[in-house]
Amino acid sequence: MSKRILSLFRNLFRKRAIEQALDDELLSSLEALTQEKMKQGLSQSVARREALMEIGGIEQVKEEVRAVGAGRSVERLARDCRYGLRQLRRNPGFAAVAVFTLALGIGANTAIFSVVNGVLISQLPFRNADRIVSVFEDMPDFAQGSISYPVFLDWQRDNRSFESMAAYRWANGTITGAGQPENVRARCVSPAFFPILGVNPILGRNFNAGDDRRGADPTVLISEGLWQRKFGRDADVIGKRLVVGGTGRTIVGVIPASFQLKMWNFRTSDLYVPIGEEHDARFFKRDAHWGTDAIARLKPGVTVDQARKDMARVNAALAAAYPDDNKGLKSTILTLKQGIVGEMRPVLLVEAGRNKRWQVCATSSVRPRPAAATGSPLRGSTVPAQFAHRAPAGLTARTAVES
Amino acid sequence: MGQKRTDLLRGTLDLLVLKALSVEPLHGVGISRRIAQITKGAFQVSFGSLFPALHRMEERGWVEAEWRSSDNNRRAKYYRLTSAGRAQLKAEERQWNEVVKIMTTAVLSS
Repeated sequence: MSKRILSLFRNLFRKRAIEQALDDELLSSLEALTQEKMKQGLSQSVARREALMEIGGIEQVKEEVRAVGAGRSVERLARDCRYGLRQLRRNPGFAAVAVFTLALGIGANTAIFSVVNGVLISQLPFRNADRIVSVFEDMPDFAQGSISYPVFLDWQRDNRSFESMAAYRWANGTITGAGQPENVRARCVSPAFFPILGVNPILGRNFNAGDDRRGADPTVLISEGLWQRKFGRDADVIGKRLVVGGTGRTIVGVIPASFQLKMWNFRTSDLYVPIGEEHDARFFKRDAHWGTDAIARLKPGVTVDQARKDMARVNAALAAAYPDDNKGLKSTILTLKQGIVGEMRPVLLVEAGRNKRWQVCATSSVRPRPAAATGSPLRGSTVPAQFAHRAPAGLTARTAVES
Repeated sequence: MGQKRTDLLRGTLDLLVLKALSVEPLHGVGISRRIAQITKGAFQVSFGSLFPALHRMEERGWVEAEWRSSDNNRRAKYYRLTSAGRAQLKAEERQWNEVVKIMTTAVLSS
């Protein structure tokens, strides 16, 4: 093998020396044959002609020898490239269509790959994001529905698979009493919500269990953006009061602007309030589904499948305990990524696949047409015959653009 | 030229060239003549096949080439079997005998 590689380099870079040696060898052979024939009594000219005939043409033999040399394929490739360039120069219209078709194919591919890479391949920007799951309550007639808050609390208490669980839902974001009234995006979250995502307040603290119960002093977390806009990044904002939805709340922390998340009913917001502090008693009824969703972080070593089995056990117990409200209770567990990508995953994969195919189509279509079709005789024996053979008749640049 | 055109079986040429070189180093024309001799004139190897074969075998390390003066004091490229070439000759002989055995059995079967 190494010998073969060596001769490849020799053939490529010492081409002239090789050719010279071949010339010498053939000439000496011709000489030897001529001598032989002269010994048989032929005149020198006749002997030489016969010798030439026996060798079968110096150039032909040389061509045959070159054909076996290592590096032949590299040479052929280079020649094919030169041939291709020549063809393109001769036919600028075809060249333009070819370049356009390739550009389109490559461009579409790149665009789709960027999306696939961003959405399907790269990790979400959260600590051990693959350990974070979304949990839904399935009713017999409503899969992946919102969770009744008492059921969430039971799950939180009874499961053995999650380090922690957090619920979240929409909240009223009307701010009054601090300059112009305004309506911003707001969400209710459990104290565990930001810890599960690995998000720490840049100022102040997160919610704790004390904030997250009925009758607690109302508290609020604000976004870095709101902190900047309403409070001019005042470090003394912690402890200040903000009236949200008619309720006076104490600001306890600032969530960094780097936190960005969009999933199910969640959107990055300007205000976050504790979910368990809800004063409306109906929220705590077992048959109330107030648009609450949940996330959870798997315990180390626990797989999503194990968590599903564990939750099935918890749900069976709840269904037995509360047959009126929780008969047939089930839950769906998806990884955070599945939750975010959701139903777009198969669509994206198909799209990516289709673009691969399109690109293959685009590249394969951009080949010189068979000689017969162009009407131009292919020049000399150096024109690679396979060009003509491989291009299916009729598949010209035009069909590529239409496909 | 009056030469009998015999289509060499694929792979036979290598064996014949190796065999021709097994006694002593020869130049191209010499190899052609030696092959004609050992096949009792049945095979006339064309130079268009012989030289490519020699170059291929040289790249594979089966033969080595060297410029020497020939009998009539002319320079010629002489080919010599290497030890790898000898091993290859043995292998190809064994293989050939097997093929012959198999084909004979096949042809004689009723």
